[in-house]
Amino acid sequence: MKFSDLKILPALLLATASYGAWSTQGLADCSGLFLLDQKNQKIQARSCTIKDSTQVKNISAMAGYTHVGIDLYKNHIGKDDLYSWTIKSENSEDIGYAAVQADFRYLDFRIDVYSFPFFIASTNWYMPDSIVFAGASFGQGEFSFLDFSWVSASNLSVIPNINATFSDKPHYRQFDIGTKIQNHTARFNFLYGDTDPSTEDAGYIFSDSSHFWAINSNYTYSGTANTASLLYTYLTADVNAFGLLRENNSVKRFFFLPAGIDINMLKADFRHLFGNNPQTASAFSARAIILDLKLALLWDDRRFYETLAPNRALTSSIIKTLSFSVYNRSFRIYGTAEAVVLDAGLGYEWNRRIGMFRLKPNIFADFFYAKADIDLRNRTETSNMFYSEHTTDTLIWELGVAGSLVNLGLSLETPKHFFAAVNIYQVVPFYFNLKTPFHKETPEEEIPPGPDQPPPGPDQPIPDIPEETPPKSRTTLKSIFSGAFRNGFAINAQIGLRF
Amino acid sequence: MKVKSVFLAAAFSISFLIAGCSSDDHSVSTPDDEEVSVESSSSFTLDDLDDILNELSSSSEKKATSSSATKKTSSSSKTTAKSSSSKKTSAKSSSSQKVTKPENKRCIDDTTKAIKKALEKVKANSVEMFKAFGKKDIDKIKTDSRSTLDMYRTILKKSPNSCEAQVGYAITSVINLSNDTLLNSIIDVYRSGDNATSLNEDNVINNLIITANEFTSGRKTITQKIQDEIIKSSLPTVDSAIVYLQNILAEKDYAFDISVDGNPKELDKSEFAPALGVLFAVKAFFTMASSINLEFSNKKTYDWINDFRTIHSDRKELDGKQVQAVKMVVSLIGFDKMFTSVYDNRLEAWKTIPDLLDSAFTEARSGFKYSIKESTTPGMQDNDIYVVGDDADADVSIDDIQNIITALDIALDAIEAPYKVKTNDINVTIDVRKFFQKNKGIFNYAPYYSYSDETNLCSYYFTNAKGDSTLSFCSFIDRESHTKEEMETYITFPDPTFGGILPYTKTQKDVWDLLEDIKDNM
Repeated sequence: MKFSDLKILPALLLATASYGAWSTQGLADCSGLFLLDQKNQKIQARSCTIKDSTQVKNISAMAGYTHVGIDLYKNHIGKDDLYSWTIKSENSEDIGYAAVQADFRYLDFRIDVYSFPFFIASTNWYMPDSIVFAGASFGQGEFSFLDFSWVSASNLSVIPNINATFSDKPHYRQFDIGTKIQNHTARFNFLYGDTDPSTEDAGYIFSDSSHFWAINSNYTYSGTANTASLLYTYLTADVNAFGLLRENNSVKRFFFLPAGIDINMLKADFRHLFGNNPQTASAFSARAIILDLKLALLWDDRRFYETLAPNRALTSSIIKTLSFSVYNRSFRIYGTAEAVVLDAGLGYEWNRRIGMFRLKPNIFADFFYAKADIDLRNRTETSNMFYSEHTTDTLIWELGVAGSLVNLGLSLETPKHFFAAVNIYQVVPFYFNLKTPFHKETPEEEIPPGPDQPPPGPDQPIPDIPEETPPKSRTTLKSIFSGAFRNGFAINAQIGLRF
Repeated sequence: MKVKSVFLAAAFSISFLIAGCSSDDHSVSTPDDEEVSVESSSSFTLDDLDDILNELSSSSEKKATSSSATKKTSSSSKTTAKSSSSKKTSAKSSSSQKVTKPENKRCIDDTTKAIKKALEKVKANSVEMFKAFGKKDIDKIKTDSRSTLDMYRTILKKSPNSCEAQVGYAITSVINLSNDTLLNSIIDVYRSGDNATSLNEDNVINNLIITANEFTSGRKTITQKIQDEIIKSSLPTVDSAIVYLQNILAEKDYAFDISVDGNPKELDKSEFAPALGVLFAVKAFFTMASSINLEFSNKKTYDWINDFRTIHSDRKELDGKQVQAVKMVVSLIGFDKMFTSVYDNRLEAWKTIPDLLDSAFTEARSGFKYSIKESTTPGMQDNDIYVVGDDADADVSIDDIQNIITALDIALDAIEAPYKVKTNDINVTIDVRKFFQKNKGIFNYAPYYSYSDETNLCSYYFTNAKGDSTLSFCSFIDRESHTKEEMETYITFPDPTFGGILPYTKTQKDVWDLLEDIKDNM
């Protein structure tokens, strides 16, 4: 699932990148994210970008270079070596970027090229006073990164390790329309697209065949002292993620996960300047976000479409062939997950002049509350030549977390040519409650026949097998705080030159 | 107008907030069979079966209208050909009363309604038995296989040519070997020993010796008892299973349908033929194990093994028991040379082993060939245990199956005629059949040697063919390396062809050339 999320996000990011994000001339920007750093698991990311742009008459050209690194690590310790494994993903990508834009009286054209490769063509039309403006863009290309490896702790394991890459070929189209009347701007855009699977490589391949669409509606008020904006975004995606093993002339599917994703987000921003000149005024800012994320893992009972079929992940061997007659085990996972995030925060930016420099320290603190309910079934199907049976495990997680994301920053600018900024972010949890995975194995035979139930939608709980009260356990706050400052930390530094 | 449009946009945004967006497509459905309760057949007994079958005699209906066993093609030509290697089968039923004596002839699947009903019931019973396999419930496997076998036997009495009953009987009879009385009592005695579940080497050997001694009484040792049991019970069971499966395979395109856990499964030639191959291999193994002299008791006890294990390599003086143990080892590998020789009365059975292996490989090969053939016709494999094909909607690729066929071809070549093993450095011809034509124990092919004191390893020495000493064992062990020429001088094999197994290693030099090539390739 997460692979597909990662695929859709870059497409959206690329879409927003075409809105003048590269307008600053000469900028170096580095970020580091340290989300988790524990003995058994690690999530870290870093990126550095340098970019430059120049303009000659109505033609502007932009170029950039980004280094992105994403490190993921998870070590699972099972009951013995055979059930223990490590999954590791150390990605380091260098991405080149170039864009050319031609501005005419009532329209502009722009071409963006990324070295993935990814290609975006866009155009904007506007009336002389910008009362109405519109735009369209088209992008397509190929993503082929997120290399990862899975290594069993046991040498005896029939599959000792898997090295795989995720790749697919996304394309999207986006249409914008907006109006600007005095200080008020309203904009609406619609984006849709899909991904084609990329399955030509040999070995283990992960890819997806998905389609998605999103709408954004955005209203902004820009007064002299006050700026306010309201953004609503909706994204929906149907994802079919799968894993294949390609050997010689044959290809075998060993992983298949059909999923539906719905995301609703409403975001409000407000900024007030204490003074008339934005260059010299201190500012107060406020933000509120409501985010609702729904995920449905869909039931599919077709043969060869199991969530995970390890027998088919075996490389060509006599053992592989015999395994279907002797011991064939596969898993089908289905269910729903929903997360709601509420966030509200306030900030202040001081603006001080020290000699020829402008010094702008800023602080922003928010309060967030997130609640996630994950309700999954894992159906384990076991068979050999003469028999087959299945059991269904119920997996329920309930997570509640509240805390604050604190941001401290400092920027330094000269009036014309130079600026530098550093921001640090730290998650400070106040409350954390995880009901431990409720795990119950229910042989199907024991399920009493119930009344016919309609197929549930994402808003409804999935039909329940009778359950015992799940055991409750609270993760102590102490354990959270002990790792707080090693985990959930991010830093961003920028240096820019303007000419 | 301007104000209006602003409000419109704002209202548009807020309406989304209130209504929220969600796609109806993303609903989670559940498995259709989540509420299916599987009919339990555990209460079905032999008496119930009799009741069903007795309807047969009282009923006037003699013709079946449909068959649960399906023909995979519409071909009506029924071949009388036996499976490819049936000519080589030496399946002979023994005089055991427990085993249903089969005949080597075609089965038929048009049985009566009562038989069909009975078969459905028994099939459900056997599903329970196979479930017990999945749960590793040995006791249930035993009770279920015994009752299921009795039921199939009863049906076969009424309808001896029923294909389905023959398949069921063949499979269940092999599983029912787990009910063997001798085997079970041996296991019980072993389990009653100290730390019986421990895999510690000392514990295992101690318990094995205690068990072996326990079953060595009267005229016979445990080895002889096990060999007798194999001849009396296991081999006839395997024999009859072989005949039944051959009957099934003689029925062209016969397929056995079974529904488990709500899923239809189809067993056809791609399963039956390899299963028959396995039965031939099992028969070859049982024949081998019951035909060669594996007796290693010393005066009806196995205690000498523990005494032998107390001897350390520091060459201290041996006590009386240790001396006896050494003498025992010497007698096993040494001069009576009866250990591993073939019993005179089993020589004929021993000679059939190459043919049994040949049949094993041939049958398995024909099954895998059939799976490739099936893969070329859409729909032929819908309910197969595994689906062969090169696309993503298949379990194993055609190459996977072809690799197995190639390996079986090599095995067949090796078993049918002298086989040339040819790698970069090794070039040797092996004639496996020769090994199964003689009844000599393997120690007859050991190099010439002698000794002055059988309890002292250092008094052992190699000799040449005339009996002249060439090198003592201890000097041989102490020296770090020997050249090929030295080895050839010191050690002489009585038969460089090893009974014709290596037909072209005619001289001592040939043997050492070969051994050196093998060593270099290790």
